[in-house]
Amino acid sequence: MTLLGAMALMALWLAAALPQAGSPAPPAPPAATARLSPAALRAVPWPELAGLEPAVQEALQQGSAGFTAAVAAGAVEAGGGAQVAEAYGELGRLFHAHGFSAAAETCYDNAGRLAREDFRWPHLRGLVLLDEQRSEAAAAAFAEAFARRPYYPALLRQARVEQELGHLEAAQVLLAVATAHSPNDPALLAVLGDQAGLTGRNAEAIELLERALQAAPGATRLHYPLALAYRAVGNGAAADAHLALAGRVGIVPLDPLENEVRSRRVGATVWDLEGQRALQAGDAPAAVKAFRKALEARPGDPELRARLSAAERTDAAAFETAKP
Amino acid sequence: MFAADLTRFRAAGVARIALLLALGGGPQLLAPAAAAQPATAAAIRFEDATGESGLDFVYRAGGAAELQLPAIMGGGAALFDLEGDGDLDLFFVQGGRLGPAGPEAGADAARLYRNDPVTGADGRRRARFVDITRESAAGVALYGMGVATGDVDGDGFVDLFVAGFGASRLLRNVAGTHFEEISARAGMAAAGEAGMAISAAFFDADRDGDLDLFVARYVDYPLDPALACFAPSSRRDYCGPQAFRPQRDLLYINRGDGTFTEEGAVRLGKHRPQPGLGVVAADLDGDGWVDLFVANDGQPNHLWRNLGGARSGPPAFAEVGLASGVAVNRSGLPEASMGIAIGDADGDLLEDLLVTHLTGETNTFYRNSGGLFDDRSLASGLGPPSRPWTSFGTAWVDPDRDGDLDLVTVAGAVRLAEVGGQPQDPLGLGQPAQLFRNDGRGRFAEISALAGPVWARRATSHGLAAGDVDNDGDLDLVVVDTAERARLLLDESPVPAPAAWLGLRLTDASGRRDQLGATALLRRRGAPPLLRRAHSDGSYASASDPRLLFGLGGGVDLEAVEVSWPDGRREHFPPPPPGAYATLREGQGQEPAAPLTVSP
Repeated sequence: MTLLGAMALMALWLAAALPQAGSPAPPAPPAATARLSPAALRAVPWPELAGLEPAVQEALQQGSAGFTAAVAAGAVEAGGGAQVAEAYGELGRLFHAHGFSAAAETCYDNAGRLAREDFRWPHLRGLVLLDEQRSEAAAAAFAEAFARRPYYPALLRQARVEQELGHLEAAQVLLAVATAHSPNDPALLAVLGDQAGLTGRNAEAIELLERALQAAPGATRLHYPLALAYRAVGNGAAADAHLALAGRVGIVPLDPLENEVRSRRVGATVWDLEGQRALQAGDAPAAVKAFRKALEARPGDPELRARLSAAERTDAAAFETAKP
Repeated sequence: MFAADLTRFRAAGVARIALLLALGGGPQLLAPAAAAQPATAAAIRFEDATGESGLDFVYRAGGAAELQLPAIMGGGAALFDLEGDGDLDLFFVQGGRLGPAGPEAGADAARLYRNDPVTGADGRRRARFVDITRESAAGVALYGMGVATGDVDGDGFVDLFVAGFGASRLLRNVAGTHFEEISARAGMAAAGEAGMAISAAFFDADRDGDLDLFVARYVDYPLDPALACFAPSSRRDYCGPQAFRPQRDLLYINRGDGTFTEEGAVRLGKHRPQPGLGVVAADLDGDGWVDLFVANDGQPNHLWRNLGGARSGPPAFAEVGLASGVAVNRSGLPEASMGIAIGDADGDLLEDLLVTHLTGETNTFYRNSGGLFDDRSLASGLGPPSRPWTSFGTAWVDPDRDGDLDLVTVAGAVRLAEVGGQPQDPLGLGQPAQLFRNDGRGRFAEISALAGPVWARRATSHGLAAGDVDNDGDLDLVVVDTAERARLLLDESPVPAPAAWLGLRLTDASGRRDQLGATALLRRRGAPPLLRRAHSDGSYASASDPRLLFGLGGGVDLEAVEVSWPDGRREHFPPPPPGAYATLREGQGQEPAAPLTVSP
């Protein structure tokens, strides 16, 4: 069998095993836990609470108390590993949601050691490692998650990381699997288009990026690589047209596990930051959502209200402009 | 059968490894980090010579305790020849305090060190720096950020422009003995031109033979009340530029007598100001007129194309960054651009750009193909290894003297939240410097771990000036670390042969004034030509040695030097003897019989 044939076969059977993209977070697998001594687990670097928003402090304190109780109830040596893994995972999500990446990474790592078939913990650990710019480790974590369960977002994340690391052939294999599963996923099309442009396959890049933009017309970031590809094939007019439309809004890949982390956010600050980032990127609808969340946490805050109003005005103006 | 395969696949533990194995032994790396490891890389070595050099400068930036943005933006250094004796002297910009009414000078002032080299027992001349701040009157008091060097009045002595927060200063070098502050007299003290200036570049905008000045300004930063910014944890952190209104950059046109008029609003035309941090001046499109590349923080970079050659009357600039491919990265995203290194990194005789960026972004390598640029960060190998660090100062160097350009970057975090590892420096923002070796084809491998312990040291490093402080034919480095002693890193790599290099100084007819912007093409028999340009700008907030260095490897037959002067004139010179510096004066070469080309 040729290498390409083997890759194609692998793509087919992996695609068959993948759950559908966009479905809710897959349930945790049945408990299959390791009997680990607590000494085999890493100590969690507990963050300093001073200076944090009171709501965040309170959430972390509650999280800590819940974790302690869960650990007490499920002694690892007595076979309560699944319960303890879940407690580590929950604490990890709480840290992750507020940017305490070192603590979150340790929690997810411990959870993954305790529940060796649970794909959620290595996947979430991969996301934290990406935040920490530890790309190689993140790719390995996504691969581990995928090996435990063929979770499509892990596959796509790993492909993106491999591509960013310059491991283009590895990325290509992963993307082939992803394509067999979700050929029209705009996030996938964007990655494929970027890769095609990067390797000089400009006609292919144009086709893929045009398809991605059709599926996600608000993803203004894609106009730039599309313009480069058009320029490379000598179509200056199309290149100029896309340059004029280029913006910063990308495609957020579907990842229910990441959404679960976001749902642990408390306080206004973290939503305020997300709103400001979205507004800066020109994504007014996302900014409106984030500022509304921030205002829920800190009702009546005049600065938040002003930012929400600004985002709403931008969003409305964009809506008017987009009307046929 | 498929089920069995799936089970086996999962049992392998890590799907990534399985996939790589399926490819037959591992991935082919586009960035050849391992494959390009050169045999001689281990010999490259930089050593910290600060202790014996006499340098004892510490950049102190007020506002760090309150997490004020200006505290993480400075400062820079300038390597320049103060008195024209052939040795590089050293000027350090000093930070200041943030008072309720605005930025002000701190307890310490800027410092000037004269280089009085000593000859050791081994016969080698080593740089020794003597603090002459007091007698030279160079201790300008302001909240300083960066510095630019150039001879603004054509008297043969290098003057200094000190960029600062709240004020900037022009210091005239009086016969190499002392400085006088002439900002007001020179037309550089208008209230509206203060702001927060970080970097500047002297260049000849209109080919009239005198030096004009471009000043990159950052943001309109209010102190009262200071704006509070936060990390995702909700803890206070340093602000980014997005929180503030960007300031318009300044373009000072020299009237010909060392005084200036600020004409940015007119000559740069109507445009949206962006938070500028770095600037280089070079003829990037090969039309004979000097263009400007400005690194903007978190916003699209500017490429100001000089239209001087296409219009009658005074020159004007057109902003062509997006169309030229340097405004954003390959993905279409603007990055936190800070430092700039410009040079021909791939040997095609066109100058490429390396722009340093924030943690989570890569440094971006823009390959020049005649005025159009292509983001080759991944293919060059310069991108991925830089992602964890916030790099500021940067310079092309050639420690192995093989003729191709290697790269240095220095780094320091700008958010408490983004610091990797456990920094021990006073600000808690320390990050390591990086050294990349070029394989001769524009592909780079990081060799920091092989090149001495200086690369493992973590500090909050911003400014980086490169120059041959011991005149041994390689570029040494001066690194400005916030709240710690500035460092002198000497290139102590072994020399392949005594004549493995050639140094050139390109001057006006008097032989005293560097012709910033002049380029030299060194033609070699049996080897590709090498292109270098005289410039002191680039890096971050700093000014470097304007002399040109050519690494010649294990001995090459030199054919000729072809110089393009800033006024458009071109001349041939016979090759000077290698292993030493030589001065080429404008007007003393031969006019070429046929127009010179830059093609090999």
